Amino acid sequence: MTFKDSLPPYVYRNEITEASLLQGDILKVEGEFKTYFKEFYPAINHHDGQDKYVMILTQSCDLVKERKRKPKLTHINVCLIRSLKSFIQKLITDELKPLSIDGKRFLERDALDKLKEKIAKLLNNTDQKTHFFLPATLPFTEDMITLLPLSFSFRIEHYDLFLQNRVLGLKSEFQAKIGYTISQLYGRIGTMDLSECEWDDKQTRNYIKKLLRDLDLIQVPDRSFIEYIKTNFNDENSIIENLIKDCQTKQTDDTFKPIKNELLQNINRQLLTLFENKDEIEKLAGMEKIKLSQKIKKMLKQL
Amino acid sequence: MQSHKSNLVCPTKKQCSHPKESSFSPATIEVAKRALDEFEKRSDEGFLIRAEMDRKLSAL
Repeated sequence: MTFKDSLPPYVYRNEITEASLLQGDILKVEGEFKTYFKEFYPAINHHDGQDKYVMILTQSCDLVKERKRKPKLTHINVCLIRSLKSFIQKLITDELKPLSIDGKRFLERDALDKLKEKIAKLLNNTDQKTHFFLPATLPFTEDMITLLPLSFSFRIEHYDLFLQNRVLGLKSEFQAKIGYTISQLYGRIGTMDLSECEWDDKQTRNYIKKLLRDLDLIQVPDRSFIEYIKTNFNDENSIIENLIKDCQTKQTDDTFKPIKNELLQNINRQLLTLFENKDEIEKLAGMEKIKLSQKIKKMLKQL
Repeated sequence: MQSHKSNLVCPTKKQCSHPKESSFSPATIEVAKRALDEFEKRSDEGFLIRAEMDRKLSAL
């Protein structure tokens, strides 16, 4: 089932009929499982009326359970699943710390673009390091996210209980992706970056700028500049830099043209009103230059 | 001044003089020049903001 305006449930397999648990299986924390969870991990809140879910992190090959074969492990690892909305909310509040005034929060456009880009990658489950996105599908009532580093262990004796509580399973390629992401999570090699070598973002920016400039890559403000250059680049005498300046000048001129016309119309109207007022004309004619100048400034302000 | 390495620009400075007389007022040209400078500045600031955001969102 899909929800209105929601993303397609592209990560789940249609049926979960397997007799064994698999990596990426999603379990509902309820009944006996919930009792154990509360007993072993009392610090984790289980709000009333709010369903809690976990995902199996243990590798599928270690979870195979058949008549002649028992799972190899002594413990099964699961990690918590949270709602995407609450996760993003926490991320904004704790990490981004935007300016907050009167209940509204403000973020620069570039910062917001970066956040949107990150969320887009999250929704696509590409380039993930510590999370896995789970689109809304029943029994979820909204989009969810797994927090892979937030894991808990349960003894293998609870295997059948886990099977009973299984509500969703991932397609095989996404099961593999979970395994890959976990391996990345614990297998990364910590290395120093440029900022630890007294080399800041500004220097990086300048270095990149020079690199690209040397490769004849020129930045323009938007697509209209490219169109202008395409149309106006006639012969080898055309200079690209001048065409960019010409395009900007033309845009500036186009922007101010309607305001200029409106301004002139207003001055015309004011002058006509003035000429129709004989007393005012005589008063202006008798004024000192400074006072006249002040009067004109006042009139212009009223435009 | 932009480098002359591009195939799109003429090879010698002599030929590089502005091809035609501008039909815009000096004031408009000045405003446009400032707008381009502002664009360049914003683009630099944007890079720094995005780099900082990248660090803040590194765990996402």
